[in-house]
Amino acid sequence: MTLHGVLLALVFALFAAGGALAVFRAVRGPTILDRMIASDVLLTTTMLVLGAVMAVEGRDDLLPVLLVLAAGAAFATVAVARSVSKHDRQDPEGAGRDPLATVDDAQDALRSTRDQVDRLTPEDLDRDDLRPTGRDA
Amino acid sequence: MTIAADLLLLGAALLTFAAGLGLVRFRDALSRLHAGTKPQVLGLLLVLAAIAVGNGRWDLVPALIPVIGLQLVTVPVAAHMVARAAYRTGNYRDDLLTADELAPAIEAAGERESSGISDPS
Repeated sequence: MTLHGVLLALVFALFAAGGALAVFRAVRGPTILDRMIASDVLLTTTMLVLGAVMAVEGRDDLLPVLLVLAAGAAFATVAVARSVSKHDRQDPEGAGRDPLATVDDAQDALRSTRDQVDRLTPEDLDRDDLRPTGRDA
Repeated sequence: MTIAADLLLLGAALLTFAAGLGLVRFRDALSRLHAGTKPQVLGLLLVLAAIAVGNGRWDLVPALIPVIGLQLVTVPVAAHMVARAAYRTGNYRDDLLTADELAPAIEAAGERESSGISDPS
């Protein structure tokens, strides 16, 4: 095996390992932000592997793919980060818990909202601050 | 020439592996973000250099510059948004921070808000 072959095997093994570790973090979470960071790394790995294939095989037809990936890759991350930061801040006792992370959390939130609705009295319903205002409603 | 391109690719592959390792080993979202953003700029730069060197063509360079340029514009935006969301949802560990310069600013903004001046954010 030539030095060229050894180096290439090492390069693609490292790319594969990096991608696999990113997938592991995306699956494990624990929060949606960790998953988005991991998916970002996975996409970067994809770009780097495409570039490596271009360099090794001496082809230039994949350049538009790289261009589009570089231009559009960040938007998914920004969109998810926006939706997280709009969410209410975490209560101190639930620190480290992500409101969007799991089905269990969503069910907890639903249950606590139902409890609050059940506890409402007619006087509560007449209060101004409970009326939807359109903003922050 | 091919060995030079291979070495550039090896650098990028090492960065990618380091990012994956950092994603798995680090403890909170902010430090994972730190690990994950390394191959996005330097790794891509090395791979683009490897493309030019491996093909041995200068005429590819003008086509490669927009790729790294777009990446340099979009990646900091995404990282900034994720870090902001991580901070605001408390998804970081206080004991891993050496300095928190944002907390006093948020406190000041909160005081301004409660004193009746509307918060522009």
